[in-house]
Amino acid sequence: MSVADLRSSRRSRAKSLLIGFVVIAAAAADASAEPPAGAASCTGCHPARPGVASPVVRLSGLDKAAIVKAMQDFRSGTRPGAVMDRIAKGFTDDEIQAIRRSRCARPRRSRSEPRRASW
Amino acid sequence: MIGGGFAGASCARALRHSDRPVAVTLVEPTTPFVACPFSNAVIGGLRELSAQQFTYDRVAADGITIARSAATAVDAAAKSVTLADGTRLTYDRLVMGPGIDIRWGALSGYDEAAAAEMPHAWKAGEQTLLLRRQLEAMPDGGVVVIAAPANPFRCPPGPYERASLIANYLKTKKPKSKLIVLDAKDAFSKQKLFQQAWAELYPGLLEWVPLSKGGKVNSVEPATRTLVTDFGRHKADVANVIPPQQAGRIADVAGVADRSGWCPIDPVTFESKLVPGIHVIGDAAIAGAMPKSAFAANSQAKTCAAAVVRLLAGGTPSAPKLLNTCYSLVAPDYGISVAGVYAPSGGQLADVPGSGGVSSPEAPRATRQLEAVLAEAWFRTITSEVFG
Repeated sequence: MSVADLRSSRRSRAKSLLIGFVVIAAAAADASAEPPAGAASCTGCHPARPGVASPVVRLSGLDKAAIVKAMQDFRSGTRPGAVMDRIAKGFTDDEIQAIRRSRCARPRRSRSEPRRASW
Repeated sequence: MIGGGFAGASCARALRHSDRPVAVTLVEPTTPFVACPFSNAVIGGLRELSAQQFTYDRVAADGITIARSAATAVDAAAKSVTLADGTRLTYDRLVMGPGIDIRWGALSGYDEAAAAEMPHAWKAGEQTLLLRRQLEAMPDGGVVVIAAPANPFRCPPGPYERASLIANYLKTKKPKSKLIVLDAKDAFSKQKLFQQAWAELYPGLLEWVPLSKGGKVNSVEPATRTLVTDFGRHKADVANVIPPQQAGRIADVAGVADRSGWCPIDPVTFESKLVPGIHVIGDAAIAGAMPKSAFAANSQAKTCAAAVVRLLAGGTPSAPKLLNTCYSLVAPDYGISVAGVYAPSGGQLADVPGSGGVSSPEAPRATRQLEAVLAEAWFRTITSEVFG
């Protein structure tokens, strides 16, 4: 399979296959303004800066409820993933809900980011 | 912040970008930074070293002071750091990401002079290029030997990714050659996936010799590029010795390294268990189940920055969850990965039960191709975040 074939095949399966969301969120009980510790580990794989070529979806600007749903589906196995299926299993319901306060789901403050789900 | 690698540069920037930004000086004598992830692809002729190099221009643009000098002393009582150029910096909190140093002499015969003959290439840069040049100069039919160390060491799957990409080079350019991996262990990271791929891609070319079959190298003889085990002598045309390691030396100077050579830390704040007020992140830290990887260093850096900001404000840091994702290339279009989620448990960072693990052994080749694409995307993403 060539890279072009692979990319084509990836596009066609974009909704069901392999790429997902990394979300870090700490205990939901922590309701301070400070983001949960480690809350930005998602941007190790999900691009936060402009101009980075990656098939991995950008989280900035995505609907938070959709991110929560994706995490729940990766965790339950109803959505297959390359990596996210393994990572989502490490988070509780409360922690997944806490994504709403997480830096991952916040728009960047200093730069306007085009809203773009790469897939 | 001492150290400008994935740990240090990430932490410095996270401190500046926090909701309560703090003044940060990053102490790092070397520029440009040369990234280790993907340096095995440089050795295998798939990539140039320039793709591994990053400046601190964007880090400085965040308002971080860059001190281009080495830290030579730390006075925890006076809360000060002395630099090689004589400067004395004072701190409220000190974070160290000192990386690794080679334990010269821990493997008999392997000193700095030996590394010029039998490169370690375990700090990316000139050593990476030396190993590549030796492979390029080797005639077809030569023998390459990699010596892999006992745990713990930087980048647990690294020796096996390197073996894979050297095997790929030999298969492509010098197919009569042989690659032997002499290992001081009987098990290694992503072992099943690597061995499955080796059987498929490099049969008869790559031989792995575990500890129990005489794989442990006891001494080396650089003049003849010979590696000596309990079971015999291996004379190599190219010898890559990945030696025993320890935390970067400034950790020992600061008193934050224990007798193991690594740095025990609190799993919530990454504060040293030996010296209060100093935090240690990245490869130098004893981070429990977390491996010594760039992704882990980046995750730890952000966690530590949040804890430091909270502590400076008089608060109590909350228990973190941390991540690791680590891709390895077995061939240019064949990637595998390991992922993990970690949380403090019993004073250590432990795997969150039921999470993490490696790529499926049953995955089709298209998945391996996709993981190779994701590996390169990961490198672009994390280096843009840390240095871009």
